[in-house]
Amino acid sequence: MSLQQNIIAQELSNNEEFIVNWLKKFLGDNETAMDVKQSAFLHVWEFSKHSKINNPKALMFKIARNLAYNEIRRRKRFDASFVTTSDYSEYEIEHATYSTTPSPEQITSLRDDIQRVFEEIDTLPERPKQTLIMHRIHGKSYKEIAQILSVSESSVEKYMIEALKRLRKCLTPDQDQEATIVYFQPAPGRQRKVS
Amino acid sequence: MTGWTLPTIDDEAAAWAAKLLSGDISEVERQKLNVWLAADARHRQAYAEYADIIAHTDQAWTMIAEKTLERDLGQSASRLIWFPAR
Repeated sequence: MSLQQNIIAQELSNNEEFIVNWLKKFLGDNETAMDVKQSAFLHVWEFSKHSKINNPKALMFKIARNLAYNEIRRRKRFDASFVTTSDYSEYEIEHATYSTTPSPEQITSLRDDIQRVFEEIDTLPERPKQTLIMHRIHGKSYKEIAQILSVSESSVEKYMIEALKRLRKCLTPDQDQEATIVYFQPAPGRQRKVS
Repeated sequence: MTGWTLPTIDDEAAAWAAKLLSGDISEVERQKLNVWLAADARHRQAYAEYADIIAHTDQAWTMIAEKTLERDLGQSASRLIWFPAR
């Protein structure tokens, strides 16, 4: 083991807990987080054999993040077959919501309508908001979300519809606002005379 | 009030978008969606807008996740890159 590899091994083991916690927050479960950490570590190790690594911790994060994104994409593709009994606590749900709300300076760097989208997401009722975040960011299936929120899958679909409709309004404020209302004719005997 | 509200194009498009996002759509439902899309240009427009807003929101979230990560690491993206040995 070279001196560089020695230093890298030392630094990575110092930051292991931090990385695993971060991955866990991103991926939702400990087991996957550990797997991703392990393969990220191996990637860094491979790099270190032939390249000089400036900042092992940052490289480790960069690789871990890419692997985590791949994992989430994979989950979305195999949504129906990927079912885990999730033990998301209330705290984690709140924290997930909190940690993904962009700061004001982040918002100003976005396209106008996307800025409005994030402001809108902030004002969504709790369950549609959690549904949207767990599905789009954490890659959870409707089934998993239903378990976490203790509701039926069809309720989750309704929350998603509610969230999506609010998002679309940010894109096109005046589209489809008027509903077609079909009235019953009141029975003739019950009609009141207007004097 | 007596009466009922028919679903608007927006209602239908949102329902299809949510159905598609579930990743759990049968062949029969997919056919129904195609029929619905073919029936009216406004259906296609509404549906495309849902696809657009979802894609852009996802993209923005990814960007925010990266910015947050950089902030957590306390350095800029350019410094996150390793450089090859001479």
